[in-house]
Amino acid sequence: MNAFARQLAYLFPRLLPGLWIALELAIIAIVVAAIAGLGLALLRNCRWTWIRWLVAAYVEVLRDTPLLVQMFFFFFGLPLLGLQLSPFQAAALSLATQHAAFFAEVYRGGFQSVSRRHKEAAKALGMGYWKTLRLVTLPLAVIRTLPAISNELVQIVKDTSVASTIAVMELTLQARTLAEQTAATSLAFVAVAIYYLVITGFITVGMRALEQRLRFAE
Amino acid sequence: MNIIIQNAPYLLKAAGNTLWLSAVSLGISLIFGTAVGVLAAFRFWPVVILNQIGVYSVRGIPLLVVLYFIYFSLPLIRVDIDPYSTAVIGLSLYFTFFISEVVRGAVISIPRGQIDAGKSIGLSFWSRVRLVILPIASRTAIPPLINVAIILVKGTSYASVISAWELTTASTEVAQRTIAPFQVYGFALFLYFVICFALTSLARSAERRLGFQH
Repeated sequence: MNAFARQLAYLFPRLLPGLWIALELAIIAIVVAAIAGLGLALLRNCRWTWIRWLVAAYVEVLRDTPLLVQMFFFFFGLPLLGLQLSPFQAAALSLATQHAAFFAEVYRGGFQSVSRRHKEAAKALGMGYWKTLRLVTLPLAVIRTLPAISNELVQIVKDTSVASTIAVMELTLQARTLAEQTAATSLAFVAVAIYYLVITGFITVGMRALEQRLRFAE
Repeated sequence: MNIIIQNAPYLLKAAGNTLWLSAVSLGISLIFGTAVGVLAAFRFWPVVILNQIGVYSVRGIPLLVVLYFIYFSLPLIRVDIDPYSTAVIGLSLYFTFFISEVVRGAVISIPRGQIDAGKSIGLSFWSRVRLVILPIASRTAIPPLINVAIILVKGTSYASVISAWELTTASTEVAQRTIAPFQVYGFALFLYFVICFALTSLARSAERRLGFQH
């Protein structure tokens, strides 16, 4: 047991550089995906059928293919179109494009849950499209979908591990390197799993607290 | 385009392996997941604790890390199996706790009277599970279970990192050999899409058929 604890104590600080990269990757992906997902969800109610159809197709394709292959496609495939991405950029791009599709679905569910009366009330007060969205529809949709958004954030943090396959030196690749180069072997993955559990635990607790705070708005 | 046509049989064979890997892992995790889910729903405490730990871990730890952990641990306990079996063990373990939560939820939602009725006509616990609980629970559980199957199929792509031979591994081989990653990975994405979209459509029609509205 003592040796076990000593090894973990040896591993934790050595994984820290990877932790920062993983967090950086997760934050970029979350911000881009949350905003792009909102755009997609709004386009789904667009006047032109072909745009609605295109957005639906985008969401379906991105949700029904593995992130790992998407990442390979972006990293190894795009240079052939003249777009050379660094591993970090390719990882961030594919995380953001896939999770934009997931976010779009989350927002769509949220928008559907906002009743027509809210929108009609906003209209009666003379609010335009954007003002209604900003002050009525969006806040209500977001509050109602907080649990789903929380799941999305957790999923994005877990998915940063896939970046290890295209040589981004984040937590999982750092652990793999330690496992291969030191006597730590599989214990490196225990240490890294603890890091992931701590991050996702913080997200879950934080989002739950936010839910409690915002409940009065309902 | 020629590259795709030439390598299509090889990649399709690999896609068959992906399907096989998915089916075996899904089968094993269905058996264990159902057992854990039903027992947890009846508050059999050792299983409740096991389920809690499993669900919490699976929620927070990436599948990739679990696969790596098993892959690096097996030599330590002197177990020598092929990467394919390692992937099956990892996927089954991980998805058992996806399925247990779905099953637990479905069993809890069964009206108490149905189970008591089974008891009152003298069915044993096992018969109640087989004849009353599972048939009723399966109605609510099938659409979310198909969604779990989709996540599992996408998850089999991670088996490539421990060098199990499936669609992603084969695509990487072909992409390196032909120096045409754009086309090859594009085709791999298409094949994954065909499998998962079929399952998505199945889930949607099951939801309609079983009369659920979200």
